[in-house]
Amino acid sequence: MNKFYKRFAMPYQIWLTILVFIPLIALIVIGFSNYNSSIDLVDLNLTLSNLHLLIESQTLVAYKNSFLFASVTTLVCFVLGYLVAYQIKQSKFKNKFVLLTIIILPMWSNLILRTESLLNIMEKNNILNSIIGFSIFGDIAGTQAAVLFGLIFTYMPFMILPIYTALEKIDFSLIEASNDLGLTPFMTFWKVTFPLSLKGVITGSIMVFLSTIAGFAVPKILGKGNLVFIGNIIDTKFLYTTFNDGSLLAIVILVFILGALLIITKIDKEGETLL
Amino acid sequence: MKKFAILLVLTLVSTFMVACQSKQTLRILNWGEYLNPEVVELFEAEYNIKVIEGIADSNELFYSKIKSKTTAYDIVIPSDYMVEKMVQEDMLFELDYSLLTNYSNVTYMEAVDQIYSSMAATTLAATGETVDFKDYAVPYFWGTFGIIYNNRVDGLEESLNANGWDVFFEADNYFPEATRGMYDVAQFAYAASLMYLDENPNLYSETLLDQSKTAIETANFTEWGTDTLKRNVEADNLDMAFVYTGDYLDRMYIQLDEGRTLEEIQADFNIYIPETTMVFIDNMVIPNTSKDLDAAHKFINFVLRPEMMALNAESVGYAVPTEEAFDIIISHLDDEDAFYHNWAYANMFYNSKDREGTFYPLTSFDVDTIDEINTMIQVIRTE
Repeated sequence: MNKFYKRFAMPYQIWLTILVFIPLIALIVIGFSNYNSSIDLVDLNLTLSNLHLLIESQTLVAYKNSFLFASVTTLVCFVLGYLVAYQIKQSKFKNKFVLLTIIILPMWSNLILRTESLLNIMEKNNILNSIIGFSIFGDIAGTQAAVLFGLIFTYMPFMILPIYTALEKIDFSLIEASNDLGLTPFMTFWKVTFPLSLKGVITGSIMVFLSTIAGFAVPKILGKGNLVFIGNIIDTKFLYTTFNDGSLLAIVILVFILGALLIITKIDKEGETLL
Repeated sequence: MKKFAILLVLTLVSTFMVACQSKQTLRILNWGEYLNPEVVELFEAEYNIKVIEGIADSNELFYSKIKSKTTAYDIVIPSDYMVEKMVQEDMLFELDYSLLTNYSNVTYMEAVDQIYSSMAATTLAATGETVDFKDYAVPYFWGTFGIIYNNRVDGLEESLNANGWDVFFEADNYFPEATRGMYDVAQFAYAASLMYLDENPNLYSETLLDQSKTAIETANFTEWGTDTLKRNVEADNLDMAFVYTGDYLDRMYIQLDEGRTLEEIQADFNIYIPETTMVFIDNMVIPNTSKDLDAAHKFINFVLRPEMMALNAESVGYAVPTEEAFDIIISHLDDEDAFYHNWAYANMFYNSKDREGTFYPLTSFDVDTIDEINTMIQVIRTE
């Protein structure tokens, strides 16, 4: 890279330092300290006594919930998302951009608003009931099914788009060659198309998994407070100014996110499937 | 061009003239939509004092704005526990009652007196100091908490009136099929359970925490929410929930606007206010940032006038703290205008000056205690 152009990266580097790097260090320091709003900065001490929080029952259940729901959401998004992406790729429709736009369309509205509306139609008596007489969801608000549906609904586009990009990039002559050499269409898909689209699958999976595991708004709204994710505990800890506990729980999540990013950089070096 | 120059000169001159006419100003730090603009206009006209209103949406913001002294506010309207904190940290001026001439003409409601004694008790317990909060604060509005309930459930209303808190917490004894909701604030859940157990909700000990946990588990809440609670009871999706009485009144006024009658609304959903319940009170206090004590006292004195307090309540909708202002509101019972009639009716039912009982304003626990309570609730939800 030309030295001259490197200078243009400066503003962003400063931005990163102030808003990401320094807070990150602060998070780690606070996570292993006694800091909360009732402690003056002069009395700040480093301690490992917060660690007991990590083995308390509510924390473990919250981590378990986050992992479980993130995994199931990722799996369902992968299966359904792959089918959708493959269909779009195969379709004879000229303007595929329109199809993709329709998929992203829900993301143009605010996440909280969308989730609140979803909650409304999941209630026993709701707007659908009063207009058409029935609701497709019945009475599932506040249940695990409601949260799972909400998560899949929200994060599906993050899976479809990278898979579609990966599929688009496959050289069609490879598939022709496979057909020429006598493989059935299914075997062609399994031996050629799928392995070549794997980069997109992994990028999509990680994007869905990370968003779900760190999120707290969707489970809070659709679970009506009956389902606690780790994000909800972190939220409560910071809201009531127990900064050290909140930071410690956030650090654990951060370790997982960094691990996931490590995988993504190993597999997809140029970041070409990332949109 | 010449015309333009003349216009410019005229504008400049008039601007300077306005600026020279130095008018007394009063800076109020308030909650949003918590002061009737008509009251402000009348005050400005009578005393020739300009009112500038600043808005903040939490007591903690009031605190930090006064503490940082960036703006010299003359009046702030914090709630009960924040007044306690401000007094403890010496952030308020004492009121000069010789300037509050209207004070002798009004009687505070029984509940308001109770709230001030309760605040004095928690301050005494926390710091060992005896404080009379009337030295610092004049009540602005107050309100209770209650159990909003679905009146389409047979017998629920009668049972609540007969057995009170028990119906809400003992899901094994009363209405096991009914769904119950709780405000998604751990301290509210803790306080509600202690009132059910006939304990003071402002006390904390490990024994009380255990008892509270058992009570909350028995209640088996299916929803922890905020604004969703009132809407779900209204829509027949939830049967009981512990909420601000104002939450109910809010939905009630909306339905009244849609043309339903009070009887119809109450037949669908209503609120039961237990004899022992949580309350909040917002107060006018003078922070020590004030540069114009004279104007501040004039304003407090002005709002103390029963007719001004009633006029203010007309747009705000909470309960007035003085009996005289309450009587003015109630005098609208026979008003032909539906708005005034309903307003009077709602006040008579839900904000009555004759309400008897025990009223607890919530104290602010320290960070560690709050963390214990939050954890207790999280444990219940993850079991």
